Amino acid sequence: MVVETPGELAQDEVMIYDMIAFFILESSAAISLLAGLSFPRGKATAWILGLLAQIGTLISGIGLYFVRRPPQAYWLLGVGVIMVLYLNYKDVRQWFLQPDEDQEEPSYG
Amino acid sequence: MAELDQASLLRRFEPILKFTHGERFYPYNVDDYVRKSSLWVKKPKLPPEELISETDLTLDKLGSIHLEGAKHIHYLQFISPINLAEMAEFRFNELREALKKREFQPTRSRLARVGYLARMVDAVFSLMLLLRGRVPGDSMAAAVITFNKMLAENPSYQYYGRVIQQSGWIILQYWYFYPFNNWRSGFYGANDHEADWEMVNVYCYQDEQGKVKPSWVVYASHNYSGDDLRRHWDDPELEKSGEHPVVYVGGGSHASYYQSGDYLTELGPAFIQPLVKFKKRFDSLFGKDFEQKEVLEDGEVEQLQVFTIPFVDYALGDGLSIGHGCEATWASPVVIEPAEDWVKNFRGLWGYYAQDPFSGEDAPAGPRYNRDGTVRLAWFDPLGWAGLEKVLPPIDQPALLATRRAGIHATIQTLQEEIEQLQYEQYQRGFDLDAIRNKPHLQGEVDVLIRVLEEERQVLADKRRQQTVERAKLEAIERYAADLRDGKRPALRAHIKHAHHPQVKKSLRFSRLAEIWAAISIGLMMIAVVLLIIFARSFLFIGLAGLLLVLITIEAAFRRRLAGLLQLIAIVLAIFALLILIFQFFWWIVLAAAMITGFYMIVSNLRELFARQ
Repeated sequence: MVVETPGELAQDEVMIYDMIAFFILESSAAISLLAGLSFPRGKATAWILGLLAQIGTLISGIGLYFVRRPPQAYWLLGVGVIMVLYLNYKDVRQWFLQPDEDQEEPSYG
Repeated sequence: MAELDQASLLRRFEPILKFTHGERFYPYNVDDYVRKSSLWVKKPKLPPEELISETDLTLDKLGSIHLEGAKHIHYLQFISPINLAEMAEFRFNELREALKKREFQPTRSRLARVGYLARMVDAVFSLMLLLRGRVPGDSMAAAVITFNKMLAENPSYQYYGRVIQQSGWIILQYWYFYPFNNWRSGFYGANDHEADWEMVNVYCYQDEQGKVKPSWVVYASHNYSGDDLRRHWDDPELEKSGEHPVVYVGGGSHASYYQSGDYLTELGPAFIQPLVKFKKRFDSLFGKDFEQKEVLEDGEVEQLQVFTIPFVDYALGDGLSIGHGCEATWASPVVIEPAEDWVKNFRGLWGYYAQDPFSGEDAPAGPRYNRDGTVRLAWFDPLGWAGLEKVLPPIDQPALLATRRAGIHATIQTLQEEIEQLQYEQYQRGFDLDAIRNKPHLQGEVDVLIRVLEEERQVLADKRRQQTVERAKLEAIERYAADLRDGKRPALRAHIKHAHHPQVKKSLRFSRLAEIWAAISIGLMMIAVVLLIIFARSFLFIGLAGLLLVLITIEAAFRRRLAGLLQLIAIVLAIFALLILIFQFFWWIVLAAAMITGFYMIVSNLRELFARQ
């Protein structure tokens, strides 16, 4: 894999990368909002949405790091890492992924 | 055993064959088939040469002919090309049957049942089918027309039987001859070929009164053999009607199964074998199992190989049934033990030789022979073929039990004598050691005694361990004998390691969508890669990564593994992000860790200090 430094990228390429990052971040924000709203219900869908939002955050952070390296990229990476750790903490995962009494099969996947 | 006895014995346990709806070929007599065939020879680097024409060939002639030539392939040819009118009539009838929904419809796509790698291998295999030798396209149509005519002239269903006595077992071997195998053209399977020999074995023994009792059954299925194929007569998986085992016959392939259902059969052609070997080495090196798994209803896990081609054998049993109490019955069996001349002398192929390097499209040899002319294992060693060489007939078990009991008793007694002798020697040496331990002039002897005592202690411990094992073995044998006396059944399925189960239908969701996706995914991926190369070469890397991610995510959703996949992706990304952060802020992280450790030590020590006060 050859990683190009920001100076070697053409202007239009940087713009495309920015657009992709913006789109992913916006999607992640929307998904985070949905996840946040469904968190109190403790459903598997909330956990999946939370994980999806973190994947979006991390992809944007990593992408920004390689293209422009703005200070916000590190915040995105840091928050993403902590949230992934939190969502994969055993008790949290069990809380969300336990089968519902009124639902025979978990709704994830 | 007299021939009459053989025939009646075969009759008594003759299996019931249940076919899949849409099956075109049924077990038939070889006399009519041979009369409709011609005999050919293919010599190296020469075109095929007709030896006996269709009108002249009979079963007797086939048995009397002497075939010679080290690399000459002799074969029968059942089908002659059909004319355009016959083909048109056949296609019209096919269409009419399809409209009446009498045609076979697969329950689920075979490709939807496996992953991307298997689909890619399948695509390569399909392309290779265009290049390698195969049965001509109109063969199935011609075979159907000819077979239907034969069946109209002589409407009977035939099997050939052998009764073999081997090491206390009486083996009933049922051979079924099908004029054509249309698995590929009729049931989306791996191959088509003229002629198909299939087999079912029933293993019996004679009880004290001399009555023949069934004990095991083995249904031949593709090229499998051994313990996994065998079922006990009392196994609930074995369906029976009176004393007749029920066989579910694979559509077109004519492989035999114990239960009705869709069977995923994975074939690994020669060109894939280097990859299979590499994968096995990779797995053993990393101690990981990267194979796809399918969880079955009874909790058994079926391993799906990555580098094999998936084909489905549809053994649904919703078509014609032949046998005792069914809509069609068997003709009187033809006994082929001792082997008749046509069985013994004709080592050639029983149908068209397609010159397929993978042999899948070549016709098989007769019941006695493999394609290369060697005698089949199932013919000369039906016990070994079924993994029964280590299983004693029930009638002989009491005698063996007495022998084993006496043998183990004798071993225990011998070990006891050796232990007592060794123990006495140990006492003597221990006594000597205690006596000389403090004598300075005998320290050399003390050292020798200590060493010998240690060595003998080991030997004594081994003998005692061996004796304990023998006693435990004897107890187990006694318990086993008591169970048999009380009529308790031994473990019926303990010998089966990998049973071939029908596929579980609930393992895929959105089944129709999944099937469409399975059919188009590999093609779409290739087109997307080409488009990326043409239109967005500078984004090739990121595009490929994104494409792969999308494909994997869609597949995981169909297979109910989305949560697991997302978790894996998130963890991988988090690790990567953490590495970036460590790389960028290494010294800050070290300083922060040192600060936190310092604070923690102060708090911890102060807490201990104040707790003491």
